[in-house]
Amino acid sequence: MNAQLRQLLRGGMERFVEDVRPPVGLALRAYQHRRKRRLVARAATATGVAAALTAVGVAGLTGAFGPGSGQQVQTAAYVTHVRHALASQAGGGLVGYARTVLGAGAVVEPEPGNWKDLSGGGRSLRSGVAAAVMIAWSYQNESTMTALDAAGQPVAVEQNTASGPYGTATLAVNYRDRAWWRVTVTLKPRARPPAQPSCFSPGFLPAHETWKSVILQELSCGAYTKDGHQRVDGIDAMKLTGSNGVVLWIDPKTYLPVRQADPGASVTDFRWFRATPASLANLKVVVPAGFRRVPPPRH
Amino acid sequence: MKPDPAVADLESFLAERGEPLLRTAVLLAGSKEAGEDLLQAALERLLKHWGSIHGSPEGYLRRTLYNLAADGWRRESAWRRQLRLLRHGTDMVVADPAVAVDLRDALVRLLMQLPPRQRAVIVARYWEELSEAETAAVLGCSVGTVKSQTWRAVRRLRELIEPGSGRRSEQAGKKTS
Repeated sequence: MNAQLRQLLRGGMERFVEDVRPPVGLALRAYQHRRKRRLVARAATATGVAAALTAVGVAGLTGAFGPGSGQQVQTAAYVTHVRHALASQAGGGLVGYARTVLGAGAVVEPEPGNWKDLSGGGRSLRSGVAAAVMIAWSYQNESTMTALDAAGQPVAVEQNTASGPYGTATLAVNYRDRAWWRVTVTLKPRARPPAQPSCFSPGFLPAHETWKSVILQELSCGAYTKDGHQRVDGIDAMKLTGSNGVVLWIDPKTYLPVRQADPGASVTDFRWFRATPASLANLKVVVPAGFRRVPPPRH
Repeated sequence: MKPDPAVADLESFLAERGEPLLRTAVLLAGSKEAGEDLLQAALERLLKHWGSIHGSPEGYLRRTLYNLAADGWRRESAWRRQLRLLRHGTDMVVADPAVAVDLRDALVRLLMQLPPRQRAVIVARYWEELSEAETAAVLGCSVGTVKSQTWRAVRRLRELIEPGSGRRSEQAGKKTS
């Protein structure tokens, strides 16, 4: 590069960035965005795990049912219901449900077998949809997650069904664009299985049958510590605090989660139901008439 | 929420070194907003590996910035859209190359429409004034790749201030090969 070109280029670059100053709180923004993205990834992973293991699981993001006496009555019924369901299940498993309220400005995008969190990316969110709440249902090898807007209307739905040992069939509907796509993705099995982690990451949401062993393992390796008991949704729940600040309340009798909170970011509420035609109907996805089929996004 | 102690350390670090890093990010990404997003993405990766980084995180952060930028970072379609817009702008500026200020700006606009890896090489070599070996280390590629990417990028930039020079050097290259 000759001197003239180098000088001109250097001068141009200096002019281009002369007013650039880092905004205050950039590190905190990165930290919060990373936490939020991990939550979505974990929820999506949990959905995938549930499907892949052909076990009952629930994918939960965060969310809170409003307080109130009505909630207490409903919860008491739920507690009885879950324990009866656990006692009566005969290999069929439970239908899992999780409700999540996303942070302000959350933007998500269904992807084959997963959801992408575009929140905080700010400017290139053409493909994503703004969402306020995520509802997840899961049963055996199938899960359905719906993103709702602030008015409670669906903006996107994704249904994943395990297909063979490594495949996942995904059906997604985008209400904003009045479009839908379907694809089956086959993940290549790893040549070597990953080393068994010594400790699960706090916040990971396993299938319901493995909750107890996961909780016990997390306690033994120090990822979570017992932090007493608290009354949550009518349950005398065991409070567990994760090393990264995530708090998990579990039913000490079933070891199933009641609530998970990532302070400042999100709260997840869980429900478990017997598999009945009514509860299983929540997993069904119907593409509305008039919606056009589009190619699935690249991932 | 009790913020991670790493965040406070990182804020202090950014108070000292944030400005040059953000300037590099802006040049790599093409705009102030995209530069902030790029730096934030690099910070997120830094936080992920915070426990395993000893000493100043600047080296890690800088490498991450360059690698994210060189890999396209955002979706390819976004780059393509940007490319079309910038091409249009450049054509208008080239119409009056005698004005030095316009030429400088035109060069930067042309820089922004280079492919991400070529742009990353130019920013490393001519903004940060890294040697070819240092640039190769930051980008995780060979010195030969740095040389070839630089040659291609410079050829396009030179075309702006010396119309026809790029084609001449290309023909010269064909004859010698």
